[in-house]
Amino acid sequence: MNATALRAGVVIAGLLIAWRIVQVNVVLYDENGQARLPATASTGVNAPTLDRELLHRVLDRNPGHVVALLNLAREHERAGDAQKARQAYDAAYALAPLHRDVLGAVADYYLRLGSNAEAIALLDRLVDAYPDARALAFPVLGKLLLAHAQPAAWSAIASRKAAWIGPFIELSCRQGMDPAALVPLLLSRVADRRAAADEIGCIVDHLRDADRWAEAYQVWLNTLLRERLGDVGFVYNGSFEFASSGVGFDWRLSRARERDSGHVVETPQAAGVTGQRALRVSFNGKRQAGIPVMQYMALEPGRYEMSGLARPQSITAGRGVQWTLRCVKHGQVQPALANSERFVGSSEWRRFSFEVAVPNDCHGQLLQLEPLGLADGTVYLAGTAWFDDLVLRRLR
Amino acid sequence: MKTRHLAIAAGFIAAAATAIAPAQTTREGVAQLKGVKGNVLLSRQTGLAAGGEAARLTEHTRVITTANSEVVVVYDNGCEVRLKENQRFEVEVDKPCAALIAQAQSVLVEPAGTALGAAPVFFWVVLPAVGVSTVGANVLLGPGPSPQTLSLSPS
Repeated sequence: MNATALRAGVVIAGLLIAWRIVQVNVVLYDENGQARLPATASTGVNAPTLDRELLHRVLDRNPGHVVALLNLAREHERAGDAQKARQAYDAAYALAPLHRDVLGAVADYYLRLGSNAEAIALLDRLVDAYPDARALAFPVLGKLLLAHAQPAAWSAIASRKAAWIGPFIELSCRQGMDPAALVPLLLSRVADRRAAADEIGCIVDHLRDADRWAEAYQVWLNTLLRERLGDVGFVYNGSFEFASSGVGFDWRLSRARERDSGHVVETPQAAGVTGQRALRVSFNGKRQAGIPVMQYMALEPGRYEMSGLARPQSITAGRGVQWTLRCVKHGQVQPALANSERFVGSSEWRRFSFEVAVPNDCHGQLLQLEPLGLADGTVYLAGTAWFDDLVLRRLR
Repeated sequence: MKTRHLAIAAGFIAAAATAIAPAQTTREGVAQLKGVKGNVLLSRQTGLAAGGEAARLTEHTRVITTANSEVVVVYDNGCEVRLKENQRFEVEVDKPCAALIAQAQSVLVEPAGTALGAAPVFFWVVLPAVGVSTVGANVLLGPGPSPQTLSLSPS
């Protein structure tokens, strides 16, 4: 009995010791057996100090321990020994030039030194190789870009066609960075046909919402294919011959589900119209939500005539639809400057037109097809409206 | 005979006048494009359209260049206005050539450089392994083991 109890006690004690060993090792060492060492680059005045002796002992055992090297570099830097700090950072970089922490910590070191070109080059490699580091590094890169720090370094990144530039443009734009600073990078991607619609859309939309219409329009023009620049017009693609991109100053067709919006917008092939395609908006008789079709414009102040072809088919329920042109200021749509006739009932293709006077303080506009009464409350609409050949002509 | 010669001469003059008239029509405007490189756009009655070499320009026509494009607007009086990429110019008359040249402006405004001031703070933190917070170095050293207590070998 005593022997059994003793054996049980020994086993329990052994298990406890084993558990403690495991516990301690999990806390002290990582899964690769390397001692856990703290952050390398948080070198503010409150950053913790490390025992350089300990770091040297770690490095004596494992001279390739780059984290220890980075910590040692930081401690030398903190102690004001710039030469030893530099040597340790250089050693870490020489040992592991693609190590995530080396790239990050050495970039941070260069930033503290004011060596922005070197920092940008390292951050470039960091965000290229480690996409998870982008959330941390992109704001820093954004500040450097805004400060025009090292344009040559940025040119090198652009010419290298780094894959992270697209996400950088989009994230920085969405986080409110001045879009104009991102335009050169975007245009370099446009030239390589690598720019995504989201990048272009974000920059153009932010410029437009800031009432920088001329810049917004110019950026968008730069993104058009050469063959589409032959006839841009005031109304872009007013014949609906080309698929809408929904970006910039192109048509924006409602993508909402029919059951949510009450309508479907398409540009199918159609008989009896100029070209091969036309705009078709089908209303399902249910409650209408949102605008089916719209296009932003950047018209100069002056008088214009809007014209087009229309063919309403069995538009019975509701008061019909009409085209309106409204000013847009600070991202807000203003009261209508002008509107077309109402399209109700049924007819063959017929031409319509209306005049618009764009005032001097109206630098951006929105052309849209509106169900009548939508702003006043609930609107039900049934039937189909066809449109083609929308043209805006300047009147002298 | 003399009457016949006069009639023939009158016929030639009439024919010449007819031939010249269309040429004068195509010369409408006050300037034209020269050295078109890349995408150059002109404002027309229905909006922007591509502008080719020697396109004639009337007063108030806007000339717009896109990226990697350039063009020279040559006035009939000899004044030349050179547009580089992403610039805009409105054809005007009754202005000195120097004023017209100065009128070519970049559409894309370069943002004013923001002074970096203090170096951007990066707060680079080594990603810790299992069970340790990623918040920052202080956190790493807080509840965790003091680095001074680290032994040199996991074994």
